[in-house]
Amino acid sequence: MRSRALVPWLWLLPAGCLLVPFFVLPLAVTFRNSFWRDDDSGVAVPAFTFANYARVLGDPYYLQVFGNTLWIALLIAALALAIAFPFAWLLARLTGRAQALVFWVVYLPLYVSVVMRAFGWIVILADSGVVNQALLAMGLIRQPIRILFEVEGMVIGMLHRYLPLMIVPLVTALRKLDPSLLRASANLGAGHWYTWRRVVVPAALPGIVAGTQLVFSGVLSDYVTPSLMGASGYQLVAPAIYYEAATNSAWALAGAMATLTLALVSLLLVVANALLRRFAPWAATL
Amino acid sequence: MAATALAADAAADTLDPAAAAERPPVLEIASLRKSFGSMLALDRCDLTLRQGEIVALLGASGCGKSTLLNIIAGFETADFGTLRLRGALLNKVPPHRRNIAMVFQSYALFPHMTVAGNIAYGLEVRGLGKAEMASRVAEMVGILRLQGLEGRYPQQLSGGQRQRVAVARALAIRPDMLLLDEAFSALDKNLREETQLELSLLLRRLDVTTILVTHDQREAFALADRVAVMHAGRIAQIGTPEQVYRHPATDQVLRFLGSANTLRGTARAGEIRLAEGLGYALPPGRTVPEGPVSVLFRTEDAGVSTVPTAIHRAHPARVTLSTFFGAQERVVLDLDGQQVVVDRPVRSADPLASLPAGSAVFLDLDPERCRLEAG
Repeated sequence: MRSRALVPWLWLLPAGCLLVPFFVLPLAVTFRNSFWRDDDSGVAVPAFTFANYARVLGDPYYLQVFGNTLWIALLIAALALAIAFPFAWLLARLTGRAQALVFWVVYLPLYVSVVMRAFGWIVILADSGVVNQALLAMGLIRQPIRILFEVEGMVIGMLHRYLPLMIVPLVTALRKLDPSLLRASANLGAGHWYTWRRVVVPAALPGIVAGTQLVFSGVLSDYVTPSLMGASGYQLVAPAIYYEAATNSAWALAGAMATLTLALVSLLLVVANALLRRFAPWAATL
Repeated sequence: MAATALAADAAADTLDPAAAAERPPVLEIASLRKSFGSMLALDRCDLTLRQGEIVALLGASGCGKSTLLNIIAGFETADFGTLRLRGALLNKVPPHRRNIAMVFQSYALFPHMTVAGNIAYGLEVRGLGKAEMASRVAEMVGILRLQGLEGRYPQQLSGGQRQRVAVARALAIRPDMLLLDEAFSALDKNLREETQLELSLLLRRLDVTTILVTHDQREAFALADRVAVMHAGRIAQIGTPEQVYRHPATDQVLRFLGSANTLRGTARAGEIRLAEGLGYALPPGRTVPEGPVSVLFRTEDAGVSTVPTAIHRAHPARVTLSTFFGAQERVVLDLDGQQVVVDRPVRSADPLASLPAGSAVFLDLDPERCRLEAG
């Protein structure tokens, strides 16, 4: 009886074999390190302390890094939402072959490694890249404008990377919208804008929340895009953690930063779900 | 308060045809035509509804009834013809400015709004004040017996409750007209009949001009003052349920309402021969070209007996199958190789349902009740 109850859990075994040694354990070590002390030889030594957290939360540099990251995450989420919404609306209305084709286009960036994509953007956005060459040739600019290795370039790269994560949940939500609801709204006297605001957006709300959560978590932990395309004067959390750990050998400090980032992501997920429950109680009845 | 006022000036239960003719027209449709690509969906449709009248558009799927409803609601535009609401031309008015409310087949309730929110939607769009909106919602909740459900979401309601919310939402805006699009098809039989009766009484009490679209003859007859039978994009016949049933204008109407038999025969020298020894003189005033004819008659318009009767000419036939349905029985006969279905009320004195297959009986056919079709 008891052993039979355990059988379903066996399905977790393959994933567990991978996740426990290569994800859960390192995470636990990182968490433990965050309460230890960095010594001068570049090792975390067991001496329980909150000093790392105090330092991260007290130093304007680190606070700035977290602020930058949150701001960029917010910006990317907002831009992705603005671009993804009409796109998802179109996708949800398409059927058959056309829909498969557009979906393929959405997923296309995911087929290429993120590093390769960053290099692709470098070719396009660099001072001697395609965009600048074209603008120069057209006589619109006298000298190349700096896009790459600036915040703008990084935003473009991240937007490209995270857009599919916003589109897919939105399409899923909008597909559930019964087209007769749009007719019902018009029939009751509502114009297009009113219907959009009162019927379409609420229907998309679960998708908006899910997409925003995915994009937010993605940007908060993105290392590759800011490292390859970002501005040196505009630090984000993930590269900063890498710098502390790999270059400064401050593993304990890096652990505290990583733990705080993880806490931030978890907090955002909890808050978003709480907001959804509070302002869209109907979502639970669907 | 408004609810009692509505109840107080409750109109007569059914619209007297003579009185109806004097009431002002609400909807006037003339020569309406609509095609989708090469498919003609509506062809020369004319229809006038007077205040408080309930008209059913009845027909099989693809007959054009839904297209007509969508044109009235404004979801489709007619290629040709005019549409007037209380005298004003409606053709170019967008759906949200028509004040014609619709109950959708799926009810189309907003899943993110409560019952009260759904009912209030049209009032909110019209910019009604909070107090008036609340009193109108309460009125509708009362009329449609939705008390206690105001705070529920549509997903938390039963099918019958959802339908009542959809009706409440549509009537809350005090529309010039109500459209019901197969509004009962999602309900099971008992609930459907109960709801039809209830809604029929309500619409007459509130004097709501209504068009309902259905493929269900019982539903059309249960609710409507007049039934428009549609076939191939046209209104084949319009009249009271009794008129269209008793005096079908076309073969399609006859075939669509109730169940009908089609027998092959030959017309010669003023007589129709259906089988060896079974010939009828053509009723006076009826002509049909000589040669093969089809004879159509309703399954309840023929009689069956175990002994020959003297009412009309009775012809020997054999029972193929007999089925007991409760108040009715259905006897399938073999008449010289042709199949005839007869539906008749069960009479305890003369039960036929118990007759074994192969029993010899007599078929009694009234030529007056038959339609003839050359070919």
